[in-house]
Amino acid sequence: MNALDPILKMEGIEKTFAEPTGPLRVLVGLSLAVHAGEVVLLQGPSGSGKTTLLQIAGALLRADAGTVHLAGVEVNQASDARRTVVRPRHLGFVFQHFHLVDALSVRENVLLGLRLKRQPVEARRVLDVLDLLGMAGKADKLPRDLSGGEKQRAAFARALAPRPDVLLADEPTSQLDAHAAESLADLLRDAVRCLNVAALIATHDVRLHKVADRILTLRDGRLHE
Amino acid sequence: MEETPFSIVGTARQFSLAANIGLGRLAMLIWTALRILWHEVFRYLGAVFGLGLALFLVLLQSGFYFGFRRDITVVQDSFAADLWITPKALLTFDYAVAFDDAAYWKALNIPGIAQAARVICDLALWRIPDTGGKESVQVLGMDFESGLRFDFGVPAPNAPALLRADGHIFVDAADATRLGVKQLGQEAEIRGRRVRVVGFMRGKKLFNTSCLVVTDLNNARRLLNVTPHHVSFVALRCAPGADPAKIAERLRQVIPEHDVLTSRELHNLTQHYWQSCTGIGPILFLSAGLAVLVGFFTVLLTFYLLTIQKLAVLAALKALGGSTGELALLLGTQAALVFLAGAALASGAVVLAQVALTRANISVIISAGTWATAFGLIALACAVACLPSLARIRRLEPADAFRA
Repeated sequence: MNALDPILKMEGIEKTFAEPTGPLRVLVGLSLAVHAGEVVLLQGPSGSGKTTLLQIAGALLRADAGTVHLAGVEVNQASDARRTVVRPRHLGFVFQHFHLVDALSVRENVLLGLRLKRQPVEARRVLDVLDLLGMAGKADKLPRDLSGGEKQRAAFARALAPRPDVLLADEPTSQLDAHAAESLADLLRDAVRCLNVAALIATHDVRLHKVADRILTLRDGRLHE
Repeated sequence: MEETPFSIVGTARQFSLAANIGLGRLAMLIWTALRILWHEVFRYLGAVFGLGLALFLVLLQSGFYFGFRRDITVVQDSFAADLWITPKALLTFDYAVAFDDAAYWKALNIPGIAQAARVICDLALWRIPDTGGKESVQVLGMDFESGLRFDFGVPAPNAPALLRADGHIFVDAADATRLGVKQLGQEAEIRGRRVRVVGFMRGKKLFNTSCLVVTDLNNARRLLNVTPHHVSFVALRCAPGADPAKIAERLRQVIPEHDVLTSRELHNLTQHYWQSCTGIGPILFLSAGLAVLVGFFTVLLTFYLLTIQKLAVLAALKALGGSTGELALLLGTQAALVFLAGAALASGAVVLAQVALTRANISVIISAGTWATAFGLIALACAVACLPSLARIRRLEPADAFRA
């Protein structure tokens, strides 16, 4: 794979869901490429298919047609076993509701993320990522002792510590107040650049526009710049 | 040529790294299970108490059952007899009607019989020395001169000589207070005849609430007003090497007016009679079964509800790379810890209850086998109760993390 090639490349993606009212075409011949170190925002009205697109990009859902290349590896047609291996190796996820393990401290949540991805645990690496996201001082706090913004930063740290090629985030600021969202946006931009990660973020939040290299709008199953 | 050792070292390093990562992941998952358990300890307490209660009840009910079984035949099982001559169509050891002891003399002439003891057994009333109150006693008399051993529960080499004297008796130490016996030598009355307690037995508690009184054959005849030359049973000990079955067959030909039973047959007859009459076995096992169900459903509901509440987090862990097996290990570790905590709780409670019940003269017998079976049964119930949660985890898709 060439260094200039996109780390995430989706071509001709089609996805239709069977609904009681009839087939619902969500993605129609969609193509997308994201390079390392690039932050791409994905916006669109509710139900436009942003999350579906993230799930397909994350090898969590299969497109009916098209190809998805992650770091040069095609995953849409790959077997479930292959996708299960590729997913933790190349992808990091951040969810709207954080999904941290409440019983574990921030540091332990990050460690668990590393362990589940079969990566060696280096204390320095964990601290570096926490530091990058301004969470070094809260490493031993439990999620219940954190604000919404801090929880989301911890979730980003968990996703970024294994150094994924692609970071997929679904509405990461929807639970945060204005200040927390602004603060997260700045930290996220620095972290993504520093770690050279390709970030694809589905969001309604205009406060994140300032960190985006590109903003794509999903409408009628297609992406528009 | 130099590459070979280098690549071996490299492979070894990679293997060592992989092993470290694998062990580290395992340790992290177990640690996470522990932390979740501790973090939500009050939610898991229900399962701990449910399992503990189930195990406690299973052990105690089993203990009552085996204690009851022991007590039913404690008297007849104390004889070192191989065969018994009994009245015809006997229902139970406790309902023997005295018969002429001619059978005893005939038995003595059968080759292969080493010892034969005449036994008398019947209920009577005991007058408590200080209060004048009455207690029911079961008087057992045998001719100790026969040499046939009777287990008093304590070493009593001089028992035959002690009991031969007029009115001398042994009672169980646990019954002493109830019978108003404060010390050895104490006198009381049975059916208006004076008796003197000259020894204490141990572990001879009767299931029928009467107290056991053991004495010499002639004393028993006097106390029970049994016609001379009459007995309730004849206990027989076969000579070493003799076949009890063949001797029993021979006896049946010689004394067809009586039944001849092996000790096992008489034991089973009495056990069957009292267990079917009282229904105690099915009742205790049914309540033990219900206790297992209590534990089963408590664990099932607790774990299933907690799994459902954590579905989004579990899906996120799957999305992060966690396999179904690893999440199952998380749940399995929690279930194992809940089981161990419940088992520890129940064990402590059972030991305390056993001490208290034994002091209250209530038989509770919990053997190592019973402990192992009860633990195995509850562990199995716990494991089965986790299956719905495991099935839910198996069906869980990483994409579910986006839906919460």
